[in-house]
Amino acid sequence: MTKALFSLQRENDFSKQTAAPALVLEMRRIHKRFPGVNALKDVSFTVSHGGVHGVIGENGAGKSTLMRVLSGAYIADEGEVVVDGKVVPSPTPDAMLRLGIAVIYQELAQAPHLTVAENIFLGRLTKTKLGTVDWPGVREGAREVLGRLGFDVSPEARIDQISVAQRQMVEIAKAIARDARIIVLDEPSAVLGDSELAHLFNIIRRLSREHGVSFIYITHRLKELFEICDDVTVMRDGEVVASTPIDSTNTGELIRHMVGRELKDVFPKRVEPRSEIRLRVSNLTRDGILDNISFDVRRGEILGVCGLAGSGRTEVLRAIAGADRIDAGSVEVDGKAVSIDTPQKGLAVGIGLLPEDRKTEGLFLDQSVGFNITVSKLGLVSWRGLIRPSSENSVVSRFIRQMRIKTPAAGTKVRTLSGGNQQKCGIARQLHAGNEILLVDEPTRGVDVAAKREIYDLLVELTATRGSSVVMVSSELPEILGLCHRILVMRQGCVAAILEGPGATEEQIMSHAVWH
Amino acid sequence: MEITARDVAPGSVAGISRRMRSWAQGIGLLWVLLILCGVAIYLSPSFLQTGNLLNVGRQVALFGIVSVGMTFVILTRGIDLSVGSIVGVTSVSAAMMLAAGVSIPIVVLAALAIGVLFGIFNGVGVVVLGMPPFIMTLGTLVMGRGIAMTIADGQPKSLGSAADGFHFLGGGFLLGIPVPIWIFVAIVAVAYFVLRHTAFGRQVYAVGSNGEAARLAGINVPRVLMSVYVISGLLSSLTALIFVSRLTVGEPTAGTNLELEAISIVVIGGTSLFGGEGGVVGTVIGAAIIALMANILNLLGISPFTQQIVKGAIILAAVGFEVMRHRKGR
Ligand SMILES: Nc1ncnc2c1ncn2[C@@H]1O[C@H](COP(=O)(O)OP(=O)(O)OP(=O)(O)O)[C@@H](O)[C@H]1O
Ligand SMILES: [Mg+2]
Repeated sequence: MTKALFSLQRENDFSKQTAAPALVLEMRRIHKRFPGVNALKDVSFTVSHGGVHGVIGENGAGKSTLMRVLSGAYIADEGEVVVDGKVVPSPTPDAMLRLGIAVIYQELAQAPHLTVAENIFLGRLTKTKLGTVDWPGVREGAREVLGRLGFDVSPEARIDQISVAQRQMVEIAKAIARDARIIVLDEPSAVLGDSELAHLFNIIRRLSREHGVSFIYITHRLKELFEICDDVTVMRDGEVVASTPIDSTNTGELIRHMVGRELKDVFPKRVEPRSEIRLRVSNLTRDGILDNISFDVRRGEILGVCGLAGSGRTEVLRAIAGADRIDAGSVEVDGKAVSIDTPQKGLAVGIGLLPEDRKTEGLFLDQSVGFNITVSKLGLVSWRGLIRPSSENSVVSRFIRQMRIKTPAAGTKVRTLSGGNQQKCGIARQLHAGNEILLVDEPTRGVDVAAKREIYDLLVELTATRGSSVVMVSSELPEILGLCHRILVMRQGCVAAILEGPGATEEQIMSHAVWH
Repeated sequence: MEITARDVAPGSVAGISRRMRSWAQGIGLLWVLLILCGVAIYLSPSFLQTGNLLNVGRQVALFGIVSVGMTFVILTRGIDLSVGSIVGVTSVSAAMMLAAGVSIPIVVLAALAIGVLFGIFNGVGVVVLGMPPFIMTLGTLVMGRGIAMTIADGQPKSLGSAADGFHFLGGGFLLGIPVPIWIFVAIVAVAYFVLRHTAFGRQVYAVGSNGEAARLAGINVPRVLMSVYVISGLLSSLTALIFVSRLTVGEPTAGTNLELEAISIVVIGGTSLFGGEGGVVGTVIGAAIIALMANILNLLGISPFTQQIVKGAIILAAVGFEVMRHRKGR
């Protein structure tokens, strides 16, 4: 462990000596092709010592692919990676790790049943003289790195017991423990809450300024770029379309580069909901998780649900949809009491759920885009149990077009799609099912600005023209404030407040969400 | 540094192994089959004699029918170890009913019902009690064999005078081709159609790809699981009827080790043990490969004991490849 300590020290000295920001990394003219997709076309990219370099671009622009090339996970078809002025002769994952490059992927790859300490030292566990693992040493080392970084995580905790934010911290600690000099963060803000993100930013600032660690930061939220980055690179369709210091650009310009056109930064106009109550939830209780939740949703209404991570937002949706058992309480649809103990029964009365975690609960990653879109309402594309390929194809291609899902074909496996495009497949499934009551959990997570607008438009259209009702959980307060008719704020498993959407403010919501 | 492999899981390794897989699944399997045919012809000109070919075909059919059922189960990420024992129970029951003079249609229906009941039994264990399919069907395997032995008192049961009337199913010919082959072709056609073109088929793949996502998507997961075990049981008892008809005797030991045969056929045919990938076309090719291997080893005059070693090694190689692919691919 003293090694990591020493390295932080060394970097520190180094940063004092160099005045001008030296380049630590250069990617030159990188090309990467997949069947049917030209994912990277002649991409060049640089990172300076101790700098934070933001990367933005639409879903499928090639951001994650570029980072996989950097980590050695993908081998570029053409181009070279230069570290410290020297071309890396064979950029294998091993070699890149040894050069101090650590990538923290969009989808974290951790061993869930191991402890934090074990994860930090995975693959490099220190041995005793007898050849057994030196557990006290490992724990001590982990405690030391975590403490140095100011992370509040116990080295003994198991990965599956800690929050996503803490997992990110563990990944960063792991990178630091390996003397990483360049750390790539692929969309951390898609999984972190506001306060956790603020904490992450503090860490990034400290590591970059004091220890000369460089960061590559991928995000879909432009605001974050101006908070944390020194430079920004915009990608579109596998190409770099702009790369500038952050001070010499602005949001409008970045969006123009990203989507190739102006994008009005407004939400679609709210349409007044109708008066009939569509969904009524009374005294919903799950022991220890949800306490006496009551609310109702009208036809044509969008109800926002917010609260801190762990406040029970997701659990409310799951309980209503029949995904989790409930201990008490009742649900009424159109004035009739319904008993929903499986998602199938939920679907039968028109309740659809877009689950929070697209990978484990939402998608069939090894099946095609089309399969994923039609699977929950096959009846709509079949006749007496027989699937009609023509009607399925037309439904699927309509969604691919409408939601701008970037995929080589309808038959492509969802696993190979970019993160945001996977999310769109999940939403398309909900829209295809045509449920009258839509429970959506973080619908725009990982989705780019332009596609967000499409999703908002679709939700508003559903409610306004078809009278559907939407309950939307989101940790992005602007979208809650911009879209919802009413806002339900949760706190520790209870309803803390139900606010009128128009006129509500972030401060107001936060004051209800936080205990005081 | 095994961690690096894990860290970069979405990487090139996956790409390469996936390419290897689609290669192996697409033309690869057919090539293997063709090469085996070539080897067989080279080794012994008698391979091409009609008698030998029909023999191989009959064997493909017999193992193939059970393997089609197994394909459904494995597609849902399950396994059915009880198929051989179901064959045993059905064989002795059918033989005893025939010997007792029960009419053939009733015997057939009763025999198929036995398979269905075993399927329901497995399904209830897996769906209602939540037992792991491996354990549940292992229990059924042991119990089933015991039931067969008990019913038959450990003795082969002859069909008596009913043997001739019942001969057609397993020993008869239609347009010069053995009836079991016709049955197999029909079953493969139906299974292919169901898996590719019906909502139920989609749901089988969905449950195997991601059970939780399937549940949340409103699929009736218990019903799908129940159905695949019933299909597997039904096809096992059908196989038993063909056995009994052909051998004119109901053996309580009939179908011993059939589960291993069927699983290896399915896996060699490219259906993933981890669910959601593969299909019945691969299973047909897998059955042909296994039957050809056996035929070649026979033609070479290799002893049955050595054959067992070879067969085991092939199964391990096929499953090992599949497991490795899975581990790297995720
Ligand atoms: N293993 C793969 N096989 C085939 N195509 C791939 C593979 N990996 C990525 N792609 C394709 O490359 C393109 C770029 O994907 P990438 O994941 O880099 O996008 P991204 O910019 O990270 O998008 P997002 O913001 O949605 O995460 C996409 O069109 C995707 O479908
Ligand atoms: Mg990405």
